[in-house]
Amino acid sequence: MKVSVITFFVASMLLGLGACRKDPARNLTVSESWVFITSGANGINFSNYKTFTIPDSVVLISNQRGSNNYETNQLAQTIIKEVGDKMTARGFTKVTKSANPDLGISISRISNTYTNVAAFNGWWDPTWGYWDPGFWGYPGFGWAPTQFVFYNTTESAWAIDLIDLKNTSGNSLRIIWSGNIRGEGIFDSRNITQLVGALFEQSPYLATN
Amino acid sequence: MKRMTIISFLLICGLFATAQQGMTKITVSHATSVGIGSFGDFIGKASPRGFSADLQYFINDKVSAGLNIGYADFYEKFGRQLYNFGGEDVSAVKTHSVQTIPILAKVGYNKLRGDNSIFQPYAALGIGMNVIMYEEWWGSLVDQQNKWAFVAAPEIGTRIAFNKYSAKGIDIALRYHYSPVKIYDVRNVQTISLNVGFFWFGRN
Repeated sequence: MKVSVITFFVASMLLGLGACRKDPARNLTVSESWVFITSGANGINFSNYKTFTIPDSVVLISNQRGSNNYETNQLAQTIIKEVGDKMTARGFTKVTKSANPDLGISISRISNTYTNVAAFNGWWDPTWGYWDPGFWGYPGFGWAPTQFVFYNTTESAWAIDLIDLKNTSGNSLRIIWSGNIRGEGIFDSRNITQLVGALFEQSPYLATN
Repeated sequence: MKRMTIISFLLICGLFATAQQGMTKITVSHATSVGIGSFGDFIGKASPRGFSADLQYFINDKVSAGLNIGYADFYEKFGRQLYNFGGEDVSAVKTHSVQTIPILAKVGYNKLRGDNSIFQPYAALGIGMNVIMYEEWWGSLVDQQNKWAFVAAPEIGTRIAFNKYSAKGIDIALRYHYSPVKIYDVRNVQTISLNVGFFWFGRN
């Protein structure tokens, strides 16, 4: 009786825990995973700024980068154009860097990849993608001691900064607005219009008129 | 002879309904839970993803003592909203996810009716530890907190035997959990759960 009671409790717990959780990460669509963070509604009157300039490349911030950390590929051109169009629609005029613009726009693509290690010690380990030996046709088998698995996780984000080039006292440049985008699929060109649009939509104060 | 056999049989079976002393009752139930108070504000949706396993040793016909282990998974996803933090605005689809695993030492008072009906209400009180796994998701970004906290859990319930001579039946209980633990805007974790399941007795 005692052994069966204990066995029953343990089995009940494991069965319940394994079957009963709604996983938030698996219940999000790509667009639901997006997070937009903006800062700039801090008393700055953007109607005081009329012109802006935007480089023809995107800064790549990555722990995997080689010697070249500027990107000019199709993705870079897509987001540069989209940000420029949104600024123009808000009443700002795009000029070259040599024309003394009021604002400079910096766009950065953040892509860091980290290598992680997991040790699979037995069937109770919650290591994704691994089936217990019974699945492979060997019920009752264990795993050889200390099996390691290496897997990568990636940190992805866009960072867009508006730099005040009009008021440059104190030998330092000031960022007066920044937008940050995180989530799945943010480096897909097809999503850029929607992503940049969302940043500007939650910044109605970012206008010159 | 036949009459004596029948009477003896009924006496033996009837003895079960009156004497649980020395017996162990095991109950396994499905639990539907809902958060209340500040925890209910954090996750307003009731959760059908829960269970409870109970082991009670009857010290005498009325008093029992033993263990209870429970589990509940609370989950709620909110539509995209704009959140303001001073000069910073954050637009996100938020998801709140909390799992609770109360592990209780429990004492019960049984046979509240005092007769041999198949309905045997009881009251119980459990105290122990609650393992709380708290997650606040902003899109695919998560803020995760795991806490161990004290928990007190009074309950009332009834067991309904399949018949007057059966050591098995259905158990229905209403249980309240209170854990004084603070996680951001959640000032304490309070839940009410309806537990419906099966029980059976075994002799040690």
